[in-house]
Amino acid sequence: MAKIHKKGKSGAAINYVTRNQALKKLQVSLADFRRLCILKGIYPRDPRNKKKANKGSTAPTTFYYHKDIQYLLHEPVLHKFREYKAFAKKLAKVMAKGQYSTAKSLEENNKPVYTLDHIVKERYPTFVDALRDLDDALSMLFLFATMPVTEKISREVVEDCQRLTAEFQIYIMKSRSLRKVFFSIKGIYYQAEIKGQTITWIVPYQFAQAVPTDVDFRVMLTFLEFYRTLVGFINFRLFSEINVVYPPKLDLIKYEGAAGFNALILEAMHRQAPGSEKEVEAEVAETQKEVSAEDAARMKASEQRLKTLGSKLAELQGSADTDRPDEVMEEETEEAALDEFKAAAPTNAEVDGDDSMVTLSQIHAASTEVQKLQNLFSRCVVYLSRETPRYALEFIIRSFGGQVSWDETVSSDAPFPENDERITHQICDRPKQGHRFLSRTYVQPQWIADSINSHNLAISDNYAPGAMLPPHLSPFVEAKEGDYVPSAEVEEVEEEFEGETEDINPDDVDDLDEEEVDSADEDEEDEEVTAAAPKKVKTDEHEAELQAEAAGIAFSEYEKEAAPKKTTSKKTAAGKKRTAKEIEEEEAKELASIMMSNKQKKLYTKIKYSQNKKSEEVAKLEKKKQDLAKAKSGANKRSKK
Amino acid sequence: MPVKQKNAQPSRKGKKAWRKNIDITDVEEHLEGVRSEERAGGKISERANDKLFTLDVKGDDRVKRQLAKDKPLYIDQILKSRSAIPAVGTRLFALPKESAKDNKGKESRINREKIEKLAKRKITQAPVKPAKKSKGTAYDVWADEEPTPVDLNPYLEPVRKRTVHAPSTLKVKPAAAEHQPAVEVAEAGASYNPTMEDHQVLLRKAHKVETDKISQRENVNKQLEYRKELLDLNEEEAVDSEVDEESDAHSDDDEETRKRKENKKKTRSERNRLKKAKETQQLELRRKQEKELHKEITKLEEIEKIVEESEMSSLTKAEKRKAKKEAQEQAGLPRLGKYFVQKAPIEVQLTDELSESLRSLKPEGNAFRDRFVSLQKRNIIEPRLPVNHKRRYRLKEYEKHSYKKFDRAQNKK
Repeated sequence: MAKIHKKGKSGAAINYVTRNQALKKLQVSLADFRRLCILKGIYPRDPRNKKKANKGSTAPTTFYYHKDIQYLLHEPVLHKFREYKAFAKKLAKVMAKGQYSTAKSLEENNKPVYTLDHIVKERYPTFVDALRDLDDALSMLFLFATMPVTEKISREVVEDCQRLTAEFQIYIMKSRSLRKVFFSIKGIYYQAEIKGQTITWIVPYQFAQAVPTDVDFRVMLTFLEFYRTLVGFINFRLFSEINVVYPPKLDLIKYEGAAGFNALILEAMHRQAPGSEKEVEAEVAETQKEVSAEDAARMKASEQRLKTLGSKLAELQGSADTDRPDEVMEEETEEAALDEFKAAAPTNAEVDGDDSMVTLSQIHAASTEVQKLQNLFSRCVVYLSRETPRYALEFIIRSFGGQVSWDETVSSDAPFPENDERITHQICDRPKQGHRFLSRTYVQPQWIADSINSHNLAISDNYAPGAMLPPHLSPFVEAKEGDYVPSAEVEEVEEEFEGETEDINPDDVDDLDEEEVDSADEDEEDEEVTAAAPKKVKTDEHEAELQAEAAGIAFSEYEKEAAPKKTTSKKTAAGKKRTAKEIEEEEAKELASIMMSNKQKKLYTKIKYSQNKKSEEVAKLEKKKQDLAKAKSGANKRSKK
Repeated sequence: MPVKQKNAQPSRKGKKAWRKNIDITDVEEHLEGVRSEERAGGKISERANDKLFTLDVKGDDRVKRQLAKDKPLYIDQILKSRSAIPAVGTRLFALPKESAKDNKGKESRINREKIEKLAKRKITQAPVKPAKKSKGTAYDVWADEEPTPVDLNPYLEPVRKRTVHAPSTLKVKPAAAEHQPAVEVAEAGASYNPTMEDHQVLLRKAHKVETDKISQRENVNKQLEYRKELLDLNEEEAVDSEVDEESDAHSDDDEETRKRKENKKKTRSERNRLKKAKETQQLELRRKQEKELHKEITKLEEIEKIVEESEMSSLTKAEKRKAKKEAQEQAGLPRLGKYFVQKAPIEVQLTDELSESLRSLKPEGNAFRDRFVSLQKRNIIEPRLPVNHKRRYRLKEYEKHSYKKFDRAQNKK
């Protein structure tokens, strides 16, 4: 006979405990239990069968894993909570007796203090793990950094959040790891890439946050407590990577002058002895092993970036304090240049066109793309008018290599005044400007975000003060296959524009009129080329038709054959091999459609229909755009004449 | 029955009775007084005057206030009013009293040396507690820990620190926390300056949420209200139909009774015929069943197929159910514990609310609530409702004595 199993001795019945059972086991109050769960990362669970987990009761309750709760019994923080309870009783007694001096000494000597260091280590065994979970922490810290001090949110908390976020922003700026910026109606979304991890966070607009009444403050503050510790440790690691002493000291005078992250004084770390340097390198190698092979390529790129950072930073006058450590780095840049890979011949994988294989040249292209993006504003000297959001814009521009100054009334310690001749761009958000400098271009703040998201400096005319702005697209929307991507067409023009800016020396900017003439000329040339192209295509078509007629093919049949070729006219030009392949594919498709069941066939037609519709729409939009461009260039010509 | 009263007069017969019934209350009272005096610190008559009385030489107006201030706590007063007579000890024999004078010369040499040494030692600093200084976050938590130096005694097993291993369940995150992004980036339509299409998509989404709410409300109302069809029904019609039904029922009853009356006793031949007919019928039935069975046996393969199919369908159904549940868990459970998870409203600006520039933008939504709802949605914390503390009984109002007095004094004036 099989062994008789007793009810309630195995399975869900012993794997789960209810919240009240947990409280009884741990001998803590509900509030303390909640705090402990948040700090330790113990989550409420949902058993598959609630009846089995709760002794036959189906009443709605919260469950936890029994083992989690058992493990909590060993938690040092739990013991500290108990000690604190005893301490609070003592203090209350002394205070009731009016023995204030005793109370003070109690507070100084006997108050139990707990740290969360071990919990951070336990929850995130490696640094990369911690980076992966940074989204939540950053959003929370940035939120509390903008909060007003109330009776629930103490001044210490707000100031600590401000410090931590400022430190993090400094790292982002120094390492140039910002990638995307999105101005939404909720706040500003940022995305950065640190050690191959994409980190997204939201920063609310300043002075916009009201404290809601239906949010549990104790819960939020407990989360914040943990995140403060976590971000503190992460900042330390990040700062040591860019060779800056952590924690940076605070310049009180600048801090009073609302300087934001400029109030922190950065000091270079002392160079270590050559022996220990090797150790550091070994450490870096170890961390590299942890990251997957794909990330390794990115890491290399970022390392190179860090090496070349020195020369770039030397240009920056505004942040003179940090240039010292980078002088040594400058020497290393030459070595780095030697290491650069050069793909001499196309590899096999490239010829095959296999998407799953990442080729060397692709990696190279990606890294150069990233480098280009990091130096997007390196030739821009930007002045922020006082109506623009200073902290956000300064952070964004500096993390792409630009120099920034601002109005003295916004905050003290502006690097250069408004009438500085080096300034190439002025960001303003008013329709009319009092005095306009001819040597600089005036743009609205959206220009910055759009330039970053399109990886090129956007055309500044579209963003002139008072102009109807082009729509601000979200960089977080990933275009699917066949979707219409509005910025795809603009790119060529933008690249031209960027080429121009690179030629210009920021010190001696010529008259803007001349530039415009140049660009207009180029436009004309472009148009000629595009006009010539369709003519060629047409003549080719005519020839083919004649040939078909000679061969004795009916016109209707010819049209049917030609239709798919028309859409892929570029590909057909490549050669006969390709077309043979295509024919094969088509045949395979037809065969497959014959083999399909009725149900599958219907689904297939449905999918095809929606795809066709989408492509039609895209074609329509593209045509519209072309027409618009034509009309524009035509208008330009006329105005010239 | 009246109760007999006890004799008020005690017996005076004989010496025994005299002793027994003598009144000694005054003597006992006196003795009790003496004893209570002793308890409070000795006989008053025997105590010195200066211990009983104080002479207030210099009057002070602050004395009264000071006295009130120095008034000991009530609990201390109670503890102080203990008897001055020492408690009865449990020792049978008292220990020999040690007087300091006697013992002075008798200290042992070793003890004396120790005492001298203690007295001579230099006190440079008061013992300071090791300062509880945390390193803050200015160190690398992820660095490898330095191994603690171990003094190797070949005769002893090395002391190992016992560590409690974290259970594997601790690393299992809820499916929603694993699959939902921590920061959900707003849609393209929520850009401060969106394209027409994106904005319309978002508007439609927000609109659908609102219309769903309205239709839900309407549905509930519909179910709650009295059915219109019932109102339309004419009362007369209802009465008519009832009457008809009743009459029908009567007629049925009559027919049955008539049939019953017609029953007659069967003859033997009739009974035999019936019996035979029944037997043949049963035989026929059995034959039919056998035939059916035979057919089914030949059909066995087909039946097996059908059973298999039905089983498969149930399996696929179970799989589908499982997949659905998993998908729900990944999207975030709608309810965890007692309460349902709050739903974040879709933040959208109407077309006329959209701003022309970043300066004139009016931010939408609340980042604080967003964070809180996100935590709930990812099943990291259980949803709760704020508890408003209610008083179980209403507060009773009454006047304090001092106020009463004050009022009376005012009235007298």
